[in-house]
Amino acid sequence: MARSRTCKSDVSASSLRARARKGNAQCALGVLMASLLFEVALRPIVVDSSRLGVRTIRNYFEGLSCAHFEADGLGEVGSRVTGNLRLSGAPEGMIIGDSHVVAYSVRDEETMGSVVERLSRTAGRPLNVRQYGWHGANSPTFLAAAESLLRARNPSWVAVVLNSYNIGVNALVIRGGWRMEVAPDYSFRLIDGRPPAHGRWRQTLGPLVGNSTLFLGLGQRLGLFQTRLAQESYAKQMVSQKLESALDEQAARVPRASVLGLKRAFGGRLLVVYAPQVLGLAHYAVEPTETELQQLCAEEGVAFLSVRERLERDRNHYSRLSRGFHNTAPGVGHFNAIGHRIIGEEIWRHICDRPSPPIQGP
Amino acid sequence: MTFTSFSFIAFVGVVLAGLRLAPGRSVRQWLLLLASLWFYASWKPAYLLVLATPILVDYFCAIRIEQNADAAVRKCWLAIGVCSNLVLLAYFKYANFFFENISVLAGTVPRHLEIVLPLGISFFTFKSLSYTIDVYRGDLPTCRSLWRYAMFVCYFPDLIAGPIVRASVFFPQMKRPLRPSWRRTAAGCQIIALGLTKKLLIADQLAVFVDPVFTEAGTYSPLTVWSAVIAYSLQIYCDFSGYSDMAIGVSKIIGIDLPENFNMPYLAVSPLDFWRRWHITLSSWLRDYLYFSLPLRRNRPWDKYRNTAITFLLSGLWHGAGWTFVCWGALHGVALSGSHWWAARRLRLGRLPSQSMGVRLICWLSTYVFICVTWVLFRSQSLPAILTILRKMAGMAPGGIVWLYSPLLMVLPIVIAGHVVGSLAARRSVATAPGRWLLPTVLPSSFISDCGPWSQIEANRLSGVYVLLRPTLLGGFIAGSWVLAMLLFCAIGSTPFIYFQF
Repeated sequence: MARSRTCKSDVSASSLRARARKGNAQCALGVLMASLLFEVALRPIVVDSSRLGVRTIRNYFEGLSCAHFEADGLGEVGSRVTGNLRLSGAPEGMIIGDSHVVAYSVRDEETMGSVVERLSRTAGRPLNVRQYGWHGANSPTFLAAAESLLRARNPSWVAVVLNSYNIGVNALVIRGGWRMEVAPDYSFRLIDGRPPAHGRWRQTLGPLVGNSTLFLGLGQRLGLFQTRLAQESYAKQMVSQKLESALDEQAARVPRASVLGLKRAFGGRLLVVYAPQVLGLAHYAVEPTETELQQLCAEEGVAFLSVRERLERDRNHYSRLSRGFHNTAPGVGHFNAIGHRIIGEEIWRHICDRPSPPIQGP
Repeated sequence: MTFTSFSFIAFVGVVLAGLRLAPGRSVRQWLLLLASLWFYASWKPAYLLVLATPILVDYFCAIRIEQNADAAVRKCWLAIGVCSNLVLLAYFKYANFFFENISVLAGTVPRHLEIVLPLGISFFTFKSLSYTIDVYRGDLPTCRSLWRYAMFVCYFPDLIAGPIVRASVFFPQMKRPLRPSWRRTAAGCQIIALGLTKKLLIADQLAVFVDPVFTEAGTYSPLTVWSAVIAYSLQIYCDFSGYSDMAIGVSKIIGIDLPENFNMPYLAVSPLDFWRRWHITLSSWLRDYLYFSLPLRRNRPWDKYRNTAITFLLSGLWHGAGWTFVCWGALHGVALSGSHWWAARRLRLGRLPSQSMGVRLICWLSTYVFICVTWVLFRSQSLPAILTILRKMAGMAPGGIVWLYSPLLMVLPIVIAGHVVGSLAARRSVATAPGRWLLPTVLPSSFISDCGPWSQIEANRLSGVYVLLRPTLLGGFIAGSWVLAMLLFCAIGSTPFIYFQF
């Protein structure tokens, strides 16, 4: 009797274990199916493909967009396609800057470069515009890229789109990109902090990530998460005033060193475009960085242009915000189509005032 | 250490591992107490003294109340217990509000005290108060162990923002082994995941839109303001009920069932119904310890309306030291008194509540709009800001920036689907419940009922009804999709829980 009971309990325990194993296996299969579903479902919204020299990057963080880049080895991902035909023989202009200029979140024909091209062609003075940007970049990145850009493109003018982030302390402390050290006499040294192009893990995961939209989406999210963590730690550092005083002094020299460096690199072709944050109707104050940059450009004889007034006017008169997308906070994020249009128009207004676009040798 | 932080996950992991490995129940209880104190101290160690005050005072007051047969002496000890809690609350929460108003009346410069509001003070003082009052009323025997009482007051899952658990519910559960079992862990983890989804996927996404619109409502179009108000109604619900779910989930793994705090409040068809579904532990606390403590004569219906109005006025004040909260509470008080009056009138006339779909729909819609309007009072920083938003909502100030926030449109179907699943599960749990389910018992009784190939309903008399996934193909598929959706679409960087400020 006791034996049969033991036998029965053994059987029931083993059948329970078998059922649990079966349940777990089914569960794992279900998770795998969910991953496959996401892999397929994300394809229309998260794609990073490179075909016939044109790289396509879709994003869903700000709006839902599809950006194309000519993979010419310059900039972060190449020259932003403007959606207009390239005109042979037309002078070439160049716009460089940070992620606002990369402009993942607007369509090709909405980019500031595209606006300049269309306006120039309407005015009968056609231009081709190249647009190069780098995510999270500051003035050291623009300085480091200047030589190769000029050598490859020889533009007639170069508009560098700047904001307070690009010429602040970030230029000294940023990791994973170019940074600078500024001496008291405003001479500077550029330091290459970019990660190696093909690390071991990238080599291993590269083909898998490159072909999987799910991995790509998760990778993009991880990037956003890392950025957020970095921003938080930086903000904490600022709040607790742990920044060394030496670094503070050096940070104060960054704007002048940047202007001097850009002037040296691009010469008379340089146009500094200042694009401030414009949030809400209550914000009218001119950012101190803008005033400082304007003064520095006047002192150094560099063409300067601020789009603040136009952005504010557009917001106040037409209730339109130049930043942000339907899935971001109002007015927060990168420049949207309205912002790009305004910046493009302002750049053109400045360029067309010149007698003729000067074409200079490299 | 918020519930959505990695440090909290690590903390809970360590506590659960400790509970699993600890040899006896008393060791586990000590471990829980130490963990709770450490949890509170991680925010501000000095404020452990604030937490200790109601523990010590109410513990000794309750013993004195039980020891004395003289009614006057008992009342005196009760008054000491109640006043000590109220003084603590008044100093930390209302001192600046009081001085500001006095200075406005006197026309002097406002005096501002540098007081940091202790985290969860409104919750742990209410917990402690309920114990003393229960002992005074003879509803509860005194707790003779100080550390057990301390564990009740500072039990970490519900310490910061509830649910406000009563001693009569908590103490019997301390006799349980308090050792995490696999079944409870599986259920608890899913409830935590549900809470995280509500917080990170819905509330934090909507906060991105709500905050700027409420800050500068005058610059936005009426449509945008309306959508922000609707977004806020979902944000506050998902934020607070998400927190409650996480607290219930963590506590479930530990082995203690916390009371249900929300029961699909936006399905309410009257303000009265809303308060039966929203922050249930607070509204039942206010009913039992405030409403019924006020004079209430049977043949005087106005007593009922007055008590309701006073209770909700104080409920508004409990939420925050500001006139916006007082107005919010007053509005709810008036609406509830109106509801009571209307129900009494219909009863007098012999009319039963209408069951017609159309009438219910109108009732639901008007209740939801009313709740949304009251949320404007709750969320706004000042009375002029409230007026600006209400003017926009009424269409009296047209024009402004149009911003249609697409995540709101994506969140709405999720919330609706959640409510449909919740309603079906609640109906099913009532239909299939064993007989004891309906009996009023002190100890929570629970049962699990199958609900198709992928899910099961875990219904608990105390914690409410949850639909949990089963380890099957479909269950795994849904769980996998859920996790991936969270990873791909949840807000980056969490905002603080709204109810932490109370």
